[in-house]
Amino acid sequence: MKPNKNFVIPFLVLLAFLLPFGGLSAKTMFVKSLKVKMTEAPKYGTKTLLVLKRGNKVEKLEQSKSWVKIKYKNKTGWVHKFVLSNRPPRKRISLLARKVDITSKARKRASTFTSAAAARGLVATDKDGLVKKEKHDFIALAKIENVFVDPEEALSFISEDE
Amino acid sequence: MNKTLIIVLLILLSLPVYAGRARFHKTGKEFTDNDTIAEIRFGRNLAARILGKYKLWDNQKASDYVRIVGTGLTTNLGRTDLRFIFAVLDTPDINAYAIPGGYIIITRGALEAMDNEAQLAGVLAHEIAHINQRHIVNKLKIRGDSNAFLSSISIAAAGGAVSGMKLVNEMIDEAVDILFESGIEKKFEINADAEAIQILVAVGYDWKCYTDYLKKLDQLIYKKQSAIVSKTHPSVEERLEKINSIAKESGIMDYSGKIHKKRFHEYIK
Repeated sequence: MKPNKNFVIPFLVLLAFLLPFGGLSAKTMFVKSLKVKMTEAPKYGTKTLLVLKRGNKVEKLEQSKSWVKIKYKNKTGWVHKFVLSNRPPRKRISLLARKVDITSKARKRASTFTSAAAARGLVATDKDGLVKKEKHDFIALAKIENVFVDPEEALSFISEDE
Repeated sequence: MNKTLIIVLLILLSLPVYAGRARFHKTGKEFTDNDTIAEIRFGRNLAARILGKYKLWDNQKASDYVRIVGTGLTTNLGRTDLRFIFAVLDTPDINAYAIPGGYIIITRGALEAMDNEAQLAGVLAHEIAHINQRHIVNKLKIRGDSNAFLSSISIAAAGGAVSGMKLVNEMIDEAVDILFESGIEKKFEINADAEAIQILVAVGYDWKCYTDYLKKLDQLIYKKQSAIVSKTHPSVEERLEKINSIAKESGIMDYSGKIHKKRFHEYIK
């Protein structure tokens, strides 16, 4: 049977427009974790093939339960599904300025810095939209907000073997 | 006009409609920067309110340890639009709270009932999951796109409009009720457990330590009534059943991982 060109041509045009959308959302994913190891098997602790960084664009090849087989720069390996996202990771929004670093050497002096920063932070928090009410403790809030933990160092800390 | 040409033109004309629908769909589901700003402002209010109820634990070493473990988890598996902030309350009550905007507060009692770092990571992962999944944000409809909440909280901050301040305070009252009394829907607690064990597996902690801790809480609830475990969660038995079911489905039943018992006791004494 000869195909009707009245339908074939529109079909091909439609396919040409829709394929890129469908293909992109199905295969391309983004790393949302700051740093993540791509391993040779779908299990934590197996050989690391390379380290991916937040925002890296990867190609999803297949999924085995919680693990996703991906391709990045001609290398294939596995990562946990939770470290990937369908869209580029959103930028961090903070209403606060970076204050006290408790990691590394700064950790020993954290309490001293925290007290001083708490007083400074109180003024800033009022401007940022806090509702003044008797039961609120803004000083304690500023105290916890003004302590900064270096994400890379925290990641190394929890990644340490026993 | 040729019939083929007409069909092609009709398809091309329909494409903007298709694209428009996609954008509408995205706007309906995606969260904007204004949504995040509204969430953080609301969370700061709520956190300040809880800190007005309980004092911070005056144990810098233990508090810093919780911050570092929590930040490690969120750096890999938390929402990237938030800076997560951790704190420990000085109360023997056993509980942990996930506050919109990335504030996670755990009690001294909860830490003292733990035996290792994997258990701490499990409890923090559960709270992180609540924030990742925006449970309170969705329940209270905290959004910045309509400007209703965002403008209310700003007006309230400027000391103006009583109605704006009233709205914000009513919402905070409702959030306090969810955290301390009524709790959030059971399905959200189960979903948070499900994400928590996946977070633990993804960073290499032994997820079964989390279920061990839940079992311990179960004993504390019934054998030591003075230790107030939240009224806000489904029964431990129900949670364990769901967690095991999810673990089987995910193929992680025989997974083991880091426990870090010694390190935990170096920091939490």
